[in-house]
Amino acid sequence: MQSIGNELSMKPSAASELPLDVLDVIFRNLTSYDLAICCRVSKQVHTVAFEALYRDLRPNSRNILRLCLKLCDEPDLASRVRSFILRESVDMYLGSISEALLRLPRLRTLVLRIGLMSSWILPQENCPFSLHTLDCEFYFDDKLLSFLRSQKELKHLTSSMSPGLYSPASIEPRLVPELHSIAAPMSVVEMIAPGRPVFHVFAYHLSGEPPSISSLSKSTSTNGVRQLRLNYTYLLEMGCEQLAQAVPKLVNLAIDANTVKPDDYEMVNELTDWVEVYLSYAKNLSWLVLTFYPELSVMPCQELDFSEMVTRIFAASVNLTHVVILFNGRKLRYICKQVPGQDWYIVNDY
Amino acid sequence: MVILITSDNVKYVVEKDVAELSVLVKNMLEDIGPSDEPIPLHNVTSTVFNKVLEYCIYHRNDPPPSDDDEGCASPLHKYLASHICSEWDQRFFDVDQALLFDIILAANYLDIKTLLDDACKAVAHLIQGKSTEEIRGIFNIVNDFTPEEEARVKKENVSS
Repeated sequence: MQSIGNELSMKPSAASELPLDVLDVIFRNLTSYDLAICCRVSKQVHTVAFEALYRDLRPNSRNILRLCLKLCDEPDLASRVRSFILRESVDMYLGSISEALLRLPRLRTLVLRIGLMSSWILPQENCPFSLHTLDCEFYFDDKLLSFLRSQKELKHLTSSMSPGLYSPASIEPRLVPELHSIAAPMSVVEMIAPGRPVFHVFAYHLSGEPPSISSLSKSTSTNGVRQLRLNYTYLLEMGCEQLAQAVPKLVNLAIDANTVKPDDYEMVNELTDWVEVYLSYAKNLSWLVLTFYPELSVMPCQELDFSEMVTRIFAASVNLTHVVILFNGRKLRYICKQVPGQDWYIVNDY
Repeated sequence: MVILITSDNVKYVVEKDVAELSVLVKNMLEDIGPSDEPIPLHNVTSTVFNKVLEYCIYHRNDPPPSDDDEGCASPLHKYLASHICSEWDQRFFDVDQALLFDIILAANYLDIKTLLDDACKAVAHLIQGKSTEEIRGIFNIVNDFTPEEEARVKKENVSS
C-alpha cells in the first residue's frame, strides 16, 4: 500500500506511514484554502490534496467566476467534482454557474443558497449528473420541479422555501422516487413525503394554516418515518395522538421548543405534560431531543435545572434510552441516559 | 467474551459487541466460528490498543454510521452529530501527535470506521491554518518538488 512518506522522510514515524486513502479521509475535513496549501507539501500529498480540492468545491463570490470558467475549459478537472457548495448571492455570475453545472458529470451534492428566484440555473434537459443531495432556497417553481424530474437518485432534499405564490398544483408520484430524508417547511414535506421512502424528516411550521401531519404516514419506507424534528407550536396544534398515528415507529423525536421560555416553570411543565402524553403512545421512541432557545430565558441557561423534567420524561417510557437537552447556538447540553433498572444519569455534563 | 492479544503480547478480554466494532475482528470471529482461541492483533501495541478500547467502550451503543456512500448523512443525523459526543471526543483526541497517528493506523488496520473518521477530523484540525512547511513537520515528510514544479503547483489552484 502506498503511504505518504517519501524516501527523504526524516525519521520513521506513524505519520509518514499513513496510507494515501487515510490521508484522503483527513482531507475531507479541510477547506479549499488548507487543501491548496497541502498541495504544495510533497508530490505524494499533492495527488491526494489536488483530488480533494476539486472533489468538494466551496466557491465564494471572489473566485466563483474564475472557477466556473476553469471548469468549462478543463473537462478533466470538472469530472472530479462531486460536490458544489455555494452560499453567497452571486447574481452577476449566474450564467457562468449555469454553464459550469452542465460540465459536472459526477456531481452528487449541490448546495445553492443564492436567493429565491434563480432556479433557472439548474440544468433542465440532459442534466449530466444525478444528485444524492440537493440543498437550495429556490421557490418551489416549475423550473425546480423540472430539474427534480431528472433526479431519480436524489436521497436528501433540503429546501427552505415554502410553496407560496409559485407553488405547483401537485407533485407527480414519479418525482424523486428514492428520497430518504427531507428538511423543509412542513408544507413542502406534506407535498413530498407521501409515496416516497422518506424516513428522516426535519420540518417546521410557524404560521398560517397548519399542514396535515398525517401526510407522514404515507411515506413508503418500510417502517415509516423513524427520525423526526418539528417545532413545539406545530406539535401542539397537531396533538399527541395524531403524531403517534402518523409516525407509529418513530425512534428519534427532536422537538424545537421555539416558544417555551426555558426559565418559566409553567411553560416547561406544560411541555413535559405534552411529552408524557405523547410517550404513552410512542412505544418505539428511544431518543428524545429538546432544543431550547437561550434568548427566551432571563436566567443564564447553565443555571437552569431540568432534572425534574428529565425524571418525569424517563418515568413515562420504558423504551426511552436518551433524553438530550440542547440550547440553540450554544455548546451547553445535557445528554441524559437511562439504563433499565437504574436511575438516569448525564453522560457528558461537565 | 473475546480474547485479543496485541503485538507486545498483552492479553485483553473484551465483550463481544465491543470487539465487533472492529470489522477485522468481526470477520475473524465469523471465520473461526465459536472458539476460545485468542485473536492476535499484529499491528497494534497495547499502548495504542488501550485508547482504541476506551473509544469502542464509550461508543458501543452508538447508532451505526449511515451507509451513505457520499458521507452525506441526513440533516437530522448531522444535527445530532454536531451537537452530541463532540466534547468527549475532543478530550479523547487531545493526545500527542505520535499517539494520534498511531490511533489512526490502528483504526485503519482494525477497520473501525467511526474511530478512523473521528481521528482524521482531529488531524484535520491540527492542519487547519498551518503553512506548507508546518504541515510537512506534522506528517514528517520532506519537500520533493523541484522549484519549477513548486511554482507550477502554486499557480494551478484557482479555487483557493
